[in-house]
Amino acid sequence: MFEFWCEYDINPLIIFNQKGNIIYCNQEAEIFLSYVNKKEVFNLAINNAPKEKGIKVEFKKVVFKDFEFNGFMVGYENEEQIGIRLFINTNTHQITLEELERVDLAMIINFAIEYVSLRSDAKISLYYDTSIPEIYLNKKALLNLLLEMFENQDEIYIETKIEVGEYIKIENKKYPIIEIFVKTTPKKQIKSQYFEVINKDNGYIIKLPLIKEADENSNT
Amino acid sequence: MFLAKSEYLQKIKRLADMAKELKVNVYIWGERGVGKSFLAKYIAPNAVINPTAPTINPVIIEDFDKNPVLDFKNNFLIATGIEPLNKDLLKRYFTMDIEIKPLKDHPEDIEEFIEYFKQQAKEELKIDKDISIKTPDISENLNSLKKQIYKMYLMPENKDEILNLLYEYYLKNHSTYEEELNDFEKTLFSAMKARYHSKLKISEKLKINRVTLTKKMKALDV
Repeated sequence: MFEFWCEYDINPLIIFNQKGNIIYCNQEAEIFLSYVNKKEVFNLAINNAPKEKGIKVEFKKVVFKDFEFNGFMVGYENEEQIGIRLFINTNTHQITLEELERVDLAMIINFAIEYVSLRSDAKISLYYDTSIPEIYLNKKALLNLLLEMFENQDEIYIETKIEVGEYIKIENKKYPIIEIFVKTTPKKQIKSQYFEVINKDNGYIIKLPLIKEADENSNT
Repeated sequence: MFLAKSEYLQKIKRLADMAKELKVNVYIWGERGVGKSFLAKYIAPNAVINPTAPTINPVIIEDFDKNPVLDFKNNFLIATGIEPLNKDLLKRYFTMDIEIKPLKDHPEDIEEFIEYFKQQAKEELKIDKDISIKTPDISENLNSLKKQIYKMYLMPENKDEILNLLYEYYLKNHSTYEEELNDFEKTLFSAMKARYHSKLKISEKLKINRVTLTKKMKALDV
């Protein structure tokens, strides 16, 4: 019974042996570990392990690539196994689904590109994943977001893809993710109430829920 | 029909096509006569212009910069104005703005517009003649260019039409006999000067004494 709860916990849970090999990880950790080096996570666990057997909880920001956590707990019962449970930053997942319309994402991105190229000499290149279907989204919010990211940039590279194996949870519903990577020289932190935005050193990542049907969400 | 020879207008056309498809709110601004209303109607052909209440149709609001307040929310809004809007105002109502630059900034399009207006004038006025524009009047962009072309098509074609026009004019206005004759002579000598360049030739063609011609031209400051 407890394994069921561990398995479906929204926080990644990983148990390592003393060599750093994974003995158990839940579903969330599986996704997390497909992006992150397990050795880094193991080192975090070892370096923050309690002095005596038991559990130690830390509330501090931990970042692994695109994953951001508010804290973690590390614990062990014997010298053979050590576990770590990372607390996901739920703020980044508070996304509102409003004014959804069926659109061609490529056209939205091309529209933003045309607009910027009319006003500046920015060098823009786009690599678009043509397997992305027409989706429901708030087109004005996405356009505003893209234009904000493109503002005052000399060079912009945009790449889109469907994130395999990853999902986004909004209003208790799971959606596959479309990722738009905007490679720029970021001049400011950008947030959105409609999409998950990751601010990186070399640009921004926008994560869109892949909503194919209007009735997938009652707000449409 | 969207004329776009220059790369600049082609970009605007592409943007307008996408704005039309995506139905995004756009503010179009630029000098008088650059084609703001045309572009607005191109993006939203079935729009209601300057309505006072919301409609299910797209809406076009003209001179939005003069009174940038909207009493209602409409799903698809295009507005035009001469001045750009400040950032906050633009963000409140629109996704983006498009500036249409004056014709002098994309002169490669002028010839296309001349041909377009010539064709339009021929069809509308039912006049089948050819004119040539040596110095396009783009002081007020497309407005002045169109006016110039239509004026040339409507110019009297023979002396009788000119005299008729003069007759209509004299019915309403006139000055003294001497002044009227002076105006006539000045116009005649100026045209002759432009055509023949030498006083000797003018005197021959008009069958007037050369000394008399010189005196008159001097007196009339031709």
